Parts: sequence; structure tokens; C-alpha cells
Amino acid sequence: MKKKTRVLIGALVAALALTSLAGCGNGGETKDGEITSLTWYAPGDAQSDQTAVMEKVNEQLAEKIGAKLDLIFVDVGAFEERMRMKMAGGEAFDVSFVGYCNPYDSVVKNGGLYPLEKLIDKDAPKLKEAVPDYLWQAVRAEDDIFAVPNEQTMAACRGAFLKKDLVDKYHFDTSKIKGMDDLEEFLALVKQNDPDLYPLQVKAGPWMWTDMKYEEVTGGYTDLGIRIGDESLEVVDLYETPEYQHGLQKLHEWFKKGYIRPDIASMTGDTTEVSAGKYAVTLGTTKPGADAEIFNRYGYEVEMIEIIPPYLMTSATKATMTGIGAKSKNPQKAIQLIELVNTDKDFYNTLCFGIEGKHFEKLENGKAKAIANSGWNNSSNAWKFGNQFNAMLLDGQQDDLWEATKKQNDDADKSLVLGFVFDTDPVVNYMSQIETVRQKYKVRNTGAEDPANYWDTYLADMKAAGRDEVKAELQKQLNEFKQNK
Amino acid sequence: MRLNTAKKTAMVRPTRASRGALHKNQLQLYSLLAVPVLLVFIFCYLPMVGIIIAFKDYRYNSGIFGSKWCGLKNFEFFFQSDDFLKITWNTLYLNFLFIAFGIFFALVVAIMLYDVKKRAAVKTFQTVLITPYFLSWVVVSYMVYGFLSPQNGLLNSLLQSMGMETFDWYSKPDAWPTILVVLSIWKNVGMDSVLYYAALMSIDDSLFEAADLDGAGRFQKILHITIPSLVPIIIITAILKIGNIFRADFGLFYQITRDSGALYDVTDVIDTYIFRTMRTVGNMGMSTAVGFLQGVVGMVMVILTNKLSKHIDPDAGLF
Amino acid sequence: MKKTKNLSQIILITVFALLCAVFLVPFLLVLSVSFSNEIDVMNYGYSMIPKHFDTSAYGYVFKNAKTVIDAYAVTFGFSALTMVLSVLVMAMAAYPLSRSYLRGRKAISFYFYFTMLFSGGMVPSYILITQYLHLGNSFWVYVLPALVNVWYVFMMRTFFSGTPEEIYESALIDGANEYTILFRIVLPISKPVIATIALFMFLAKWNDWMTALLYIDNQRLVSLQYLLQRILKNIELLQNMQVGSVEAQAAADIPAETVRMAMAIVVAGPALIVFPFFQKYFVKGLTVGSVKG
Repeated sequence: MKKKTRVLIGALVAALALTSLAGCGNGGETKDGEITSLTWYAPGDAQSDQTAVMEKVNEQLAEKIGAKLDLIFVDVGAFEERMRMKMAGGEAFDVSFVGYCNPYDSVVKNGGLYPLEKLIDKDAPKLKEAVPDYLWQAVRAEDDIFAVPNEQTMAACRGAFLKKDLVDKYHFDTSKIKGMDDLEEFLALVKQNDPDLYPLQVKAGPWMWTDMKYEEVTGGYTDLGIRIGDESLEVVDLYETPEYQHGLQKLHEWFKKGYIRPDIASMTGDTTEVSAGKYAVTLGTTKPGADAEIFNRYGYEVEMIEIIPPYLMTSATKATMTGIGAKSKNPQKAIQLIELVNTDKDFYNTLCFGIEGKHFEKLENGKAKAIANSGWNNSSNAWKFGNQFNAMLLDGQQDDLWEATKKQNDDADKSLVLGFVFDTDPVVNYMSQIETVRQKYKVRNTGAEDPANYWDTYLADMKAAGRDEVKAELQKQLNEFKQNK
Repeated sequence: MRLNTAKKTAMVRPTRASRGALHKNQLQLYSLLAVPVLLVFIFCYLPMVGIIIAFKDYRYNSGIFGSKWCGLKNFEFFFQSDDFLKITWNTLYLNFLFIAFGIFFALVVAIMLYDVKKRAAVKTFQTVLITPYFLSWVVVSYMVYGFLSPQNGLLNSLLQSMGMETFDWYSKPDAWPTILVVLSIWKNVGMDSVLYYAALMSIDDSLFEAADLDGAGRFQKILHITIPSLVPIIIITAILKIGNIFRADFGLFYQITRDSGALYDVTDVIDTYIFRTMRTVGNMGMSTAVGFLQGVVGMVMVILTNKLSKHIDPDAGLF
Repeated sequence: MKKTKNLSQIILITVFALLCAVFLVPFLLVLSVSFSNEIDVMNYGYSMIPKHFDTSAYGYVFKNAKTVIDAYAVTFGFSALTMVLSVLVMAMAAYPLSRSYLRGRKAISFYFYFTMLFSGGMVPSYILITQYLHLGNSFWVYVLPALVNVWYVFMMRTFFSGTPEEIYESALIDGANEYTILFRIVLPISKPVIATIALFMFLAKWNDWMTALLYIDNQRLVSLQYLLQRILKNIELLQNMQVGSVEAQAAADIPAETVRMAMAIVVAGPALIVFPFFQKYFVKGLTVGSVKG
């Protein structure tokens, strides 16, 4: 019997060895001569004419840094999962998009990226200058830098979009809107004159009352934050702030008056309504060109009203970045590639727009126009490769779009906690309980229900879930952050 | 009765065949087993090395072996949670309902279908009954929403037209165990019954003929022939399902309830809880730890049911 | 006697017809919505008959017709291949395990069963498959890891042990070896269960999207379900974006509700057509309960 087992195991091992041998053939990096091959994962759909574009890109790359680019697109919906597997599995890729679909903080915490600070100093000095200092500061983590921010609209203003046809119809003077309360008159007019429309779009969460001058500092998982401009960094529960309390009361009042859609509590997703222009007022991020963007996309005009002036949150700086894989075999070449993308406009635009005459045309006004169905077009999301301000302007975009956006970024009030990352390890056991309570009350916090009905139980549930402990820990870490600054 | 004899014969061990011949056959049987055993070894056992991630502070750049050990830290969050008892109970209770009702209805459908004589009718019914199996939970969730939506939902319109009270179903927890069980059966009963139907196919027709000669009625035949011959397959299905009683069908609990927090008291199960935890503090060790726990509990449950099933039918156990 | 039989047949058929109506209505609803106009769906909710017949949802799904057709071909290919190979491999496991004289039967059963309870999770499998077996981005990654489904091995084993023992004994006495018994005797008389399990395997692979999500970069090798999931996920992602945020692209033109339903039809349709081919093996002939023919 024993002998047989041994034979069996022997056979297994032999067969295993065979299978693994038989499988060899692909994978591994190729080096022909001096040229290093670099893999780069970016979110998006593969496009048909990639070969032609890569030929041109690689020509420049070979000459400039002696490398060859293998650009691989993974669709947005799968990007996070796929990159997590690649990083967790220790795969040796070189460059990857990091950001909203591959979150920087957690990737860094799990050790998925290559530390860049020394590398940049040594191999990519121009890159250091190409990115403003405040951004470098914002993306610091574990006492190093793990990805290069791709500049785009980062400082956000929050505000309201009013449908222009209604504003005109009611002869409404939008200049008097300074805060959410001032919307009431307009909403009443909509309710009265256009009963087919929903007067106000509400998205549950601390920001549904746009007057909130606060910043969430835990990655959006606990609704704990600080007041904008509060140097003492005192932690507050966003839901307990006077602004939110007032807003919730007000929204409930509006709900009763019919300004908010009656099924708000069980609604998920309302793109269709937005695109059909069913909302008279939507709330969101205002930025240069946002109104034009809405017009181009949905076909109706809006009046953009800024309520909260431009403000640069820590989280916004990490939405679009480029990093190097922790196991990359060519980090030096990879950082040179990132440097090139961010400093060489010509190279960057080839990557984004393709080849002139084939994928885009240059118009007389100096702007670019994509050729339809040409098989290559990353013009509208150039931020996935690098600094968007280096991109050619598209036909129809305002002449000073990038200057204006950059100015908004640079001039914006900067978060006082730029670069702070909440380490959840000490309170990890409370985090999911808090998330449970948040989800439980989320639908009630839309104005659909009178807050008086549930507010006390909400506070009690939050307390039981351990929010006070998390709050204390957050305060402790913020105090340390303040001291080390 | 004739029946019993038939069954007994089937259970007799082949002591009559010579030992020498059987010895030679062992090698032949092992050689048949070689390929599946090898495949399972490669694709299931080799990756099991990863279970140690449950006891490690997993860092991507250090890998499975390089990461630091951290004892039972990854298990703590689960046991220390106030919700631990609630989600465990929900998982076990609802899964128990799914298994019990699922097997029962699949059996009923299979037995009834077996009695339908028109071949074309059987084909049509079977085809129709499996259609829901093809609809993903996402699609089903939208249909359910069309039915239960507090505004335009068919159910509320119906209740209203009958002058009854309407509800916001997505914040009415007590209705949900029923809704979930009904949906689970609706989606799976067609496929599940196919298996029992196949089992019925392999019953020796002569048993029924004999029973007819004895003047047995329809229900007597079901009770004495059909059910007993299905017992082994029922037991196996039950054991296999019970092994997974600690795991929940994520799509059902997440999509169909639209992750409505108001329903958590009855619909929050281990898998949805872990999903939320991963979303907030995403850490590979924690999800591996819970997967490991689910395996351990499943193992215990299976060993118990396996023992129990041997009391019913000594040959029926899993091992 | 005959009359009661006819009556019971009528009752049975009526019961099933009603049951089928309950099952079919949602499916027809899906079909109807998939051919509806998005705006109608938004304004009036789902309805059994489209207010305006509209194929734009299918237009969206088939926007890149070639990709969808490629995905169909790939998916059909690996589903069929997996089905054939896995039934063979699983029978090779199930048959020995059904023999009570197999030495170490319990231990081997346990060896198989254990894998149903414990797994190392996705990361170790990913490492094994991509870095050691080099199956990443290949057709075989769909097939090889899926060949042994322990659940079905046990199902088969149960069926095989249900076959009357005399059949084996007389074969053994006639000097047949185990291979002959398995392939010449057991498999042919087990057609219903083999067909059932083959069907299950085929459908499981037909619905496979995880494999493509984790392992496939090559656009020509993605599975159908993954392709459709991708469309769905992209819609969902875009739905949650704020106006003015960087991520939002031309999302508004997507008829989200109807596309979802069209996708369900695109996936389920062909699989439902395949079903009757299996059925002939497990639908009893006309003469149930009467003399064998």
C-alpha cells in the first residue's frame, strides 16, 4: 500500500512537471538589442488601429529612451479587479493607470506599486518640475511617492445646473442663488409650471446639500471629515453638522411639496432621466466648460451656478495617476517613459490622438478634430496617459480651456490635509459595521422621511457600531499629521 | 414484497467474484482515476497553499510566502462584529429554506413530469421551466423591481385596485425571506428537476409493471418505488448543498434586494457582509480567512449529515 | 380505469401549463422590454407589449457585430469542448468511486470532496495559471481548470452505483476489464445522466465570464458572457458618475434598461436552442409505464 502511494505521488509530480514544461512559450520580457519592452495597462476598450499608432510611438521611444511600448487596454469595468490580480499575483508589468478604477491608497497600502521618489530624482528630473509641488505633496504615502498624478481638473467647485429653457421661461434671475436655500423659489416655479419634470435631483450622501463646506477624509467610508479651512483639523461627523441638519429638514420639506421625485428612496441610477432632461435642477461638480460638456452630451443647455468655490481635496488629486508595478523589471525605463509622456507634447499627443491625417486632422484654428471610425481616439480621455494640459484642444473647446483649468487648480484653496491617508488598521473591526449602518440609513437620508422619525436611532446605531472609536482614532492620526507637517 | 428483493440484490457486495480478479482490477481502476486525480491536484490542491494568506498580513510585493504572519488577526473582525450572529443566522436560515424547498419542489416537478405521457408536452414544459435559469440575477432584479417598485410596481397597483394597503417593499423586511425563497425556487427548479428526472429514467420499468400487477395505485407507486429509488440522489444533493450552507448566493442577496440597507436585518448574509468589508478596508487576508471559515463549517456540517445519511441508507453517504 | 388516467393526464397538463405561464411571463417581459423604446420604458415602466417597436438596444449590443460573433464562436467552442472532455474525465473518476471493492474508496472520495469546501482563493490560482502553467490569454484556460466538477462526479457516482450489480458481475466473470465495463456497458446505459451532466457543464461554461475577466487580454478570445457583462458594467459605472467628472463619457445615449434585457436574450437564446438536443436523451418515450419497447 505504502509503495503504491509513493508510486502515485511520483507519477503526479512527473505529470505536473510535464504540464508546466508544455505550457512554456509566452510571457517574460523580450530584449532585442538595446530596446527594452515595457508593458502599460490602461483602462478603456482596445481600438482597431493600435498597431499603426504603436509603430509611430515606438519609433520615437526607441530613439528617445531606447524602449518599446506594449500598451494593453483593459475595459474600465474590469480594470480594478484585473490589476488587483496582477499586483497580488506579483506579475511583472511595468506601467499602469492608477486612480478611480484602481484606487491609489489601497494599492499602495497593499504594496502593489514601486516607490518612485528616488527613481524620479535620479532618472526623471524633468518630471519633477512638470508636476506642481502641491500635487507631489498630495500623493505622498508611506513616506514616498508611488504614482505620478496626471493633471486634469482637480480643484472642484460644487454647484447647481439649472435648465436654461426654464430659467428663460420664468425670467428667473440666477444671480441671486448663493446657496441651496435660494433654489426654493425656482423649484416652486418648476413644480407649478412644468409638473412633468422632477424639480430637483438628489443623490444621497453628505454632499446632497451642496452648501456643505466640509471635506471627507477617510476615503468616503465613514462620513467623518473636517471643515474647510479649519486649521485645528477637528473631526466632525458630516451628518451632524448644522448645515446638513438644516439641509435634511429642508429636503424633507421639499419632498413633501413634491420637489423631489417620490421614489427617491428606492431609486438606483437615473442616467436616463438625466439624459432626457427630466430634472430641472441637478447638482454636481462645476468646472470650466462643464456646461458645454452637458450640452454636447445631453443636448440641452444649462446655467451653471457655483455654490462652493474651487477647492482642492486630497482625494481629487488621486483620481488619475500613472504608477509603476512593484515587480517591474525595468523601473528606470518605465519612469523615463512616464517622464516623456508628461513632458513631450508631441509624443503624448500621438498616444492620445494617433497619427495626423489618419486619426485626426489639424484645423486652421490650430485645434484637432478626430476622424470618425479611424480606429484610434483617446482624445477626450487623455488624462489616462498623462498631463491633460498638454493635449491638443479639440474643435469646439474654448481656447483657454487648459489655462483656465490649470488656474482653477493652482488658485484653489488647498485642502489642509493634502497627503493625509487614514490608516484604518487600528479600527478595522468597526469599519464594516459603520458601513452597514450607513447603508441602512442611506435611503432614509434623502428627504423622503422626516428625520425626526429616525435620527435618534441612527445616532444610537452609529454609536453601537463604533463610530466614536473611529472618530477618536481619526483625530489622533490627524493630530500626528498636523505635528509632522 | 417484490420491491424489497429488487433493492436488496442491488446492495449485495460482489463477494462471489474471485479476489484475484478484483486485485488486478484495482490497477485498472486507479489508472482511470489518474487523470481526474491529477487535474484536481493541479487546479485545486496546489492553489490551496493560498489558505495561509488567511493567517498573514498579505502584501502584494512580498507574495504569499514573503508576507508576515499575523496569527488570527484576519479572523477577528468577523467574530468581534456585533452583526456576527445576525448574518450567520441569516445565512444558515435562508440557505436551509432554499435547500429544503428547492429539493422538495424539484422532486414534485420531476415526479409529475414523469407522469406526463405526451413526449412533446414533456419537452415543452422542461424547456419553459429552465428559462429562468438563464436570466442573471441582475436582469431578474430589474424585473423584480418592475414588480415591487413602490411607484409603478405591478404589485402595488394591484393592491391599490383592490383597495388594499400598499407598501414600500424595499424597506419592509418581513416580506423578504418569502420573496427570496420564491425567486430561488423559480430560478433553479427547472434545472434541479432535470437531475431527478434523469434519475427517474433509470428506474427499471419492470418494477412499475410488477406494482401494476399487484394493483398498486399511483400514490402507492410513488411512495414505494419512485421515492425510494430517488433516495440516494436526494441524499447526495442534500449533503453537497449542506456543505455549502455557510456560503450564500451573492447575486441573489445583493442584486435582488438592491443592497437596500433597510432590509439588512433579514437579508444581510456572510457574503454580502464580506463584500462590504472588502469595499471599505479591502484586505486579502480577511476574505481568505472568511472563505476558510466557511470551509471549516461546511466540513463539520458535511461530516454530520454524512453520518446521519448512513442511518437512512448505508450506501448513500458521500464517503 | 382508462378514463381516470385520461382525466389525470388532463389535470397534470393543465397544472404544468399554468406553471409554465408563470415561468414564461417574466421571460416574455424581458423579450418585450428588449424591443421597447427606452423613453417608453422610463415613462410607463415595463409592459408585455412594446409601445413602440424599437431595436436600438440590439443595435447597441451588436454595435461591434464582429466582436459579438467572435465571442459566440469562442464561447461555443470552449463550452462544447469542455463538455465532451469533462464528461469523459468525470466518468473516469465516478466509475471507480462507484465500485465498492475499490481500495481507498473513501479516502479518494474525500480527496475530491475536500476541494468543494476549501480553496486557496483567486490569487494562488491566478499565480499558478499565469506564471506556472502559462495559460493566461489562451483558449485552454477556459477548458482545463473546469474539467473536474466534483459535484457532478458525485452525481455520476450515485447513478453508477444505482445500476444493478449483476450487470458488472456477469461482465467481470466473462473476463471483461474495467475499461470495457465503463465504456461499453456503464456509459451506454447511463445516457440520461450523462446527457444531464453534459448539459449542465455546457451551460456552466456558456455562462462563464470570470475566466475572461481574470485571464484574457486578447479581444478575440473573450467569452460572450464577459462581453455582455462588460457592456453592463460600463453602463453601471457611467450611471454612477457625476456630471462634470472626468470619467463620464458619452454615456447618455446608451439605452441602459433595454440593453440589459437585450443582453439577457442574446445570451439565453442560443442556449435554449441547444437544450432540446440534450432532451432527447432524458425524455422518456411515449410509452411510460407500459410494456417496454
